[in-house]
Amino acid sequence: MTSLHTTRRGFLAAASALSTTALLGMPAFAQGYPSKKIDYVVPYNAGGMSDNISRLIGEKLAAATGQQVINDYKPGAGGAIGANYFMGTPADGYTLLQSTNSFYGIIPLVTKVQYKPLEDLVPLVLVGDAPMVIAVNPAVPATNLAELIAYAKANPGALSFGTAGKGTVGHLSGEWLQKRAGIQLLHIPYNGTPAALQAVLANEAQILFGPESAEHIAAGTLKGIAVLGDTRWQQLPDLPTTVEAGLEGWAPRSWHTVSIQAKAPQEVKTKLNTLINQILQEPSVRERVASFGLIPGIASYDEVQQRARDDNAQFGALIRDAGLAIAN
Amino acid sequence: MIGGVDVFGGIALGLGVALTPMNIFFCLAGCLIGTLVGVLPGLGPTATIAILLPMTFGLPPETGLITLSGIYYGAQYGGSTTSILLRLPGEASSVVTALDGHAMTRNGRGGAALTIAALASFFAGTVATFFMAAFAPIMAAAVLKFGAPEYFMLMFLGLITSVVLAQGSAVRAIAMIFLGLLLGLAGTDINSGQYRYDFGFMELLSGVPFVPLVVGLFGVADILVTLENAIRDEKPPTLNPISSLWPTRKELTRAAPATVRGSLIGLFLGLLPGGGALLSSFMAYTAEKRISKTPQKFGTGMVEGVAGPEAANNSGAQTAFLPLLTLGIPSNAIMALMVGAMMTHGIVPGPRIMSGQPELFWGLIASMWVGNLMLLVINLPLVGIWVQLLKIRYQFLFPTILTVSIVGIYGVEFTTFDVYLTAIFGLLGYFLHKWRCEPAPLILAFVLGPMMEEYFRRSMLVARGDLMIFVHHPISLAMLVVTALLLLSICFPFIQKFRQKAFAE
Repeated sequence: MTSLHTTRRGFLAAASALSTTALLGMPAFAQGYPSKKIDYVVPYNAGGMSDNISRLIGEKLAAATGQQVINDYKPGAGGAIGANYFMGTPADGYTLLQSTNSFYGIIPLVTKVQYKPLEDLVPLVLVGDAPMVIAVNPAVPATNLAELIAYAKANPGALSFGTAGKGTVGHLSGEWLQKRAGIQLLHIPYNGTPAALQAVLANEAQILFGPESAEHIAAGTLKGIAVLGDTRWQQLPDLPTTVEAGLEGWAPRSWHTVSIQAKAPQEVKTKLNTLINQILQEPSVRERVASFGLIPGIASYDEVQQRARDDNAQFGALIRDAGLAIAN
Repeated sequence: MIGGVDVFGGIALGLGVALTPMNIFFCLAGCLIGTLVGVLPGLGPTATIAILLPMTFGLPPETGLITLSGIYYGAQYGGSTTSILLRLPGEASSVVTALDGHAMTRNGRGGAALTIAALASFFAGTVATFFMAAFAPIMAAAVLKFGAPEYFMLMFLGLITSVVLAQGSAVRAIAMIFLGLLLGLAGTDINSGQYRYDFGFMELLSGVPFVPLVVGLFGVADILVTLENAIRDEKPPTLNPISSLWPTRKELTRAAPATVRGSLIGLFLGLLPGGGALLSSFMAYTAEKRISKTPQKFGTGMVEGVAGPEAANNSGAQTAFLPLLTLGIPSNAIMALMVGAMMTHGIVPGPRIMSGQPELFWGLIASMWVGNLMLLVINLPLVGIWVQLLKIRYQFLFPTILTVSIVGIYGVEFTTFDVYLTAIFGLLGYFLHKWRCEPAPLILAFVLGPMMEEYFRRSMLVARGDLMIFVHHPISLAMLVVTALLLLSICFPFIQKFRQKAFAE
């Protein structure tokens, strides 16, 4: 299965990185790192998913390094305020940013930010993917992706999808499905995911993209159609992926990472990737990440750069097609 | 039968959970913290719960949630204390309480106002607990009956009723409504993603923040006005001495029916996500003013204007849990934090909670009643202490209020931008007072305006541009009729006057 393959490859990469450093020894700078407290910028309000992840990693990082890791909350403008604040801190590797792939694929394209993705800001690790589940109201006469596409083709414009707003991963998932399947859907933006979920439950909108539908799929109040991408989700193991259903290649995805300024010394980046990957491989941590509703992941430093590059290109194309990009 | 347990079995099960010594202790602790937090202006329950969240991770899930919900409704109680005594509403729903509550304080009836607020809240909490236990599934279904057109008509009705809120001239009230609507326009347009009136400030991309607006317009402006009077009259500002802490028999008999009406209004409106909490207290106030034989006296310290909104506020605060517990939909920022708390225990809020986690569901509902009882026990003796606040010399009291407000406001988003905004709104509030304009309609319009726009445009999206959607949906039609009747009743005196004049000529 694809998921096992990815995981095993990640494991091997991380393990080889570990053994290499053990054999060659760390360069002088990284050996001393970290020699003082680490600031951990969370660009959202306390209590949310990003905060949960940052607390989990921060606590373990502090234990592993013997240094304090202190959370600094800078919410606002969908994470852009925190990112801009982060770019103003010294690039010495002692400030980290809790982030998602939106910081590489979406936010810099639709908001004025003071960084160029992957040139100024780079991801360090893959914490986990938030599964983008396609769920529909039970009134929609379709039980799988082929039927949903056929119904949408027979009734163009009849189906609408509810999202947490313009330029969210949910919105771009809808744009992607329209483009890939050659169908027409109406986009109805809501003020946040809970409102969109409520609308799909009430059949005001018919389709929802994201992990929030899981409980309702299990209870039968919504119908699960597929998971975007190539990896099934442990919480809904019977739900096929869009790749299995015939839509090959890249699909919109949402994953969590820890970012650092690109100018930070490469040894520090490598060391942090190793340190955090060790943490993420602990069974108890994987269990916690899964309990947040994520698919726990693991990736080497180079793999996660590639992920961010792909998302930057693919989301960028979707955003331009949807007419969303702003002149920066 | 609900999820394998009948209602009485459920309540028994719930009380069994809520009345264990540990849960009673944490419920009490939560209520105490919440009361203190509510009393501090600016520092709201959302920030507190976010800060205390990790401390509950080590507790069993029921205990953790009982503590957090204790903070939540404790803060509802505490928020009305500063509204009544200092005209400092810490949150949207206590803006209304400030109107007549603070007027009562100026009349020397501050203690009585606090006592009535506590009693009304307790009654409303009891009613809400009972309704939630008995009718949870029906009430949850009602939430899904509310689509975009229904929300729009409800907001529209709310906005029209806000004219009724004004004590002075209707023209000034309408001006304030428009000012509120304009302020509410700032931020990101939800349909196009365009930025409006952000003036280059990223902080404004999610709109003008609420707490600085309220603290500025009410608290800071009030201090400025009082100080100006003190300087002009060359004597320190004084309030009428607090007479008795207890309400008179007459006050109680007037407050009782208002409490019942307020509880019922809050029961329903609290279910609605977003503006529900604010609308319920505004609607309750409007209802009292329209029913009253002396509507012109509202704003001068009418006890109904305290009891009704406080009851509505509290029963609404409790029914707000229902969409979360039955549908997994958090109806406000605090409920969203509750989701976070549940997730860390591996509980996913949703339709399976009631059957899958009956101890949690019924324990939480039973703890609400226990919590309300505790709040009454905590708050009645505290009334005497709170009113002592008023005896502090203003040279010390005012700087303290300002300092605490600024710290609290900074703590909401950790940005100095909000602190500057508070200063600007404080000045605006001062001038509004000079021009005899009421800030309450402004606040309501500020909150409702953006939501009205959102729901209107969404209705148009859903209906593919057909305005008849508001007539075709029965609930929306009913509210449309009520709005029309209300508009007529507001205009009728003018029409009558005009006709008398016309006939006279």
